[in-house]
Amino acid sequence: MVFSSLIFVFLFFASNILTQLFIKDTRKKNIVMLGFSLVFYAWAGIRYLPLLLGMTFICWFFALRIDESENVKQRKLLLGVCTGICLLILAIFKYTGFFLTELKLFTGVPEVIPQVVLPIGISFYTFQLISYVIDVYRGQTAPQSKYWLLLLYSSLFHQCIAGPIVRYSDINEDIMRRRTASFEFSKGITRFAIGLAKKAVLANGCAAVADKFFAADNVSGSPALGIWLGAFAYMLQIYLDFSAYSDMAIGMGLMSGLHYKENFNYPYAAVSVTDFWRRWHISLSSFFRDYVYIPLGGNRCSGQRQIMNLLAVWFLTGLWHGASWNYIFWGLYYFVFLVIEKFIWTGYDKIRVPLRRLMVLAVVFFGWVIFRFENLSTLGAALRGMLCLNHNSFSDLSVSLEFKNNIFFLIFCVVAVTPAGKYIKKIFAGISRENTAALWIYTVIDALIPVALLIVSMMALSGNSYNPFLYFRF
Amino acid sequence: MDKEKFKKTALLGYKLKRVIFLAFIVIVGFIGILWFARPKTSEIEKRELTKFPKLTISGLLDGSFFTGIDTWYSDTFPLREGLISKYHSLQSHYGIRSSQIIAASPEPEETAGADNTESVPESQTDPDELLREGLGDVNASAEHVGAIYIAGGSGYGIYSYGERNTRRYADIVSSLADKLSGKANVYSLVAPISAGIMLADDVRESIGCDDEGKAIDNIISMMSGSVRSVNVYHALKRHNSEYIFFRTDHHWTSLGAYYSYREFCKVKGIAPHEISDFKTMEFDGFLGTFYQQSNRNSALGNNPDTVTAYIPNDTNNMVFYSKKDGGYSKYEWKVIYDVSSYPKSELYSCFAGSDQPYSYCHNPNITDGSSILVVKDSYGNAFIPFLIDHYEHIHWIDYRYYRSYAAAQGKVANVSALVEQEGIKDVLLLNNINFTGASKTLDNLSNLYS
Repeated sequence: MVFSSLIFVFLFFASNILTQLFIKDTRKKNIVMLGFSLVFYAWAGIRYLPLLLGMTFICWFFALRIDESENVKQRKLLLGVCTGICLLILAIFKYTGFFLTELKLFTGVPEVIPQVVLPIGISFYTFQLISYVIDVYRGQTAPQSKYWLLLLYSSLFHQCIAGPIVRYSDINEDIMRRRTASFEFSKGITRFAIGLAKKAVLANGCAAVADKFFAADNVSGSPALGIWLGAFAYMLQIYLDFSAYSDMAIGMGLMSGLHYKENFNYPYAAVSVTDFWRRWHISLSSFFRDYVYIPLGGNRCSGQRQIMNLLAVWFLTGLWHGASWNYIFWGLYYFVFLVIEKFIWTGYDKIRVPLRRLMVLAVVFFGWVIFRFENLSTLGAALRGMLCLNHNSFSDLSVSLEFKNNIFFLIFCVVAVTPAGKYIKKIFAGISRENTAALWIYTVIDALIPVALLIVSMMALSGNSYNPFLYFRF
Repeated sequence: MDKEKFKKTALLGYKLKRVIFLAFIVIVGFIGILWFARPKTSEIEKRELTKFPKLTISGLLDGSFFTGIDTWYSDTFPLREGLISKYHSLQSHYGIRSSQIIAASPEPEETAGADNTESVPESQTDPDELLREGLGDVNASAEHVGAIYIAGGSGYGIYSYGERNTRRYADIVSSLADKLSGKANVYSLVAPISAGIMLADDVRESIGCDDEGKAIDNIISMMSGSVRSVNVYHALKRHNSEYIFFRTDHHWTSLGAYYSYREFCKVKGIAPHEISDFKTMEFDGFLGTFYQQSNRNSALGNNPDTVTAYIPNDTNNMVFYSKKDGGYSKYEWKVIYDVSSYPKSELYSCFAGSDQPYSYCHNPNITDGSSILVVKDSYGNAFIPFLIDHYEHIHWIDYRYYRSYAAAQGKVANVSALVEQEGIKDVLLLNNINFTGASKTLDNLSNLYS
């Protein structure tokens, strides 16, 4: 079940939120929430459920042992074993096929590469559980003595399959005791509805434009401008899609009294590549920062060592996104730009901000082209095609029509990825404080907007058989 | 404004928002669980909607059972049709949509020129069903195209010329003509599709549609001397300011078929009837295959067609055989059938009993024993009514379905056997140009013509 489906919104979530509203006791709330979350997870196939239950059990068990132990060495060992098991499981399910394919390429064995199906959300909940165990080890959080409550954390349907990667320490308090302020519930509604519409209407609409030029293996025949247009639409799609899932998660959390941290902060308004990664998928980059980069020495070591640390982090960031070379290249691509920014082009900060923004967007744009194509020869064809090197035409009617047919929509999406909406809301909120009539109008409109967005999303979800889910790879 | 008042209004606002939101998802959620209100078929998409999945252990384990529920839930959502049409009107504001190229949605049954086509489903309309439900065969996929060009409220299919298949088509037709030489005259009529007739050459080229006039010339030049070719391209081109092709459907109109019929008469050497000689029936609001395959494009939806049908002067009675309960049954029918109670997507079915494996009409006003067999796809349907006044016996078969019909009747499933058995003197092979390049059509025809 994906968030952007009618059955999720009107059956699953509707009944979930009603139970959360009517049950007053937090313990009972948690039991019901766990039930919903397990059903949600099992919806992708019951056979994956034991994995989630098992990994949570291992981390629950080891965290308690680590907490009990006074012996530094033993604690380290326990931590090592636990994270080792988690990473091994992740590696087996996510990277076996990739690794064996490469191995076969060089050695000829194994003859048959086993097809391992990637359990949904494994990359997200593995990282959540690892962060939990490390935090316990570091004494930053107390261990959870009840298995089922830790399971609630790892399986919570709001963020289990598409993020954000929530830290246990951030929601532990909320899990144990929570009440929903009516202000927050209201905020949550709007946030959820915006997320749903962003995904169902905007992201899916951009996906349709992108796929027109990126369909299957047909890229080499696409006219150059078509590939540029497709990449542009894909750039919009991936942000709108991903941030929409985080919006919905944050919104549902607010409605249930759970506070998740922001996962995106208008990344396409970044002024440097470093800044971009502070704004893009924040829960992932901060995970790598806190659990890989800083433990390796972070910034507080020699330049050479710092570069090695960055290399490790960006190799892993790439690999986390999928078991394929293009993701690794994508990670390393950012590594190169970050090194340039940090060590080589030190005068970068002196360039005017709008120009810097444009440069970041260009870097990100080509980054997404690399990210888009798992098949390296298709990636090569796309990159060559952008420069007319495939003997492809520069443009044709299908490109100009596709552009004209969607021009207002694309402009709307461009505006939607900027903070413009936030500012507009601020302005109206300011005006509404001036007199009673304005306040009433603002209040009523604010109350109606979520339902209006739900209706538009329903239309899009009924009419659009095209509803891609981008996170199967993660 | 004082703080207290602001706070109060804000709190009221939060409550209001919560009530509206919860009421909305609960009401829609409630409508969603009304299983009896869920539609089972989509008239516009001509298909059965997704059924509730069967419960299996493996389906539970790998999640396919649940995915099935997801699909079922959204596909048969009670408010679906209305929501979809609203969504399409929303999308019409996404940009300047006066012209568009759209990938046709249901997998086409046979595609233009391409040498790798899918098989043709042997599904036909059960006429009883049609009458009862007022619905066409929901399983039957429409004939046609990979992409649709939409401009000025009209749809156009795209034709690609393929040398290999075109030659094969010419060879297959030639071999039949050679075989029947001395027994029956074989006429070949390749019907162009609208793009080649209605669009200016530069527009047609810019959408990647090959020149149909040249293609038809090529087909004719490749055929043996025993084939009497009827080239209707130029006649249609001359009349392209008239309503000779539908806007929302890939077929020609009756008028388009009529101008082609005049060309046939020229080749055969008979005098055609004037269009004013016929009484007509009219069905409006037609939204045909382009409309469905473009996922209900609103430019087309706002521009529905009118089907005008010309009733033969001598008789409007015919019979056909169609699949029923595993066998074939005979139906008394009308050459021009009143389809005003049919869904708006089905109005082209008014002609000649639509796509039936075998149909026949006896003209009681002619007693000279003259006879014709038309081997056709759906383009033939609008054409056949004009032939009725010229022959005593008019037979027509749809080459896509005839073979299984013949096999079920214990007959030899080929054209020459039928010609011999019925003593037929004229054979007209009428195909739309897209099908002359489709491998599956060619396989079908070569079996039928062998």
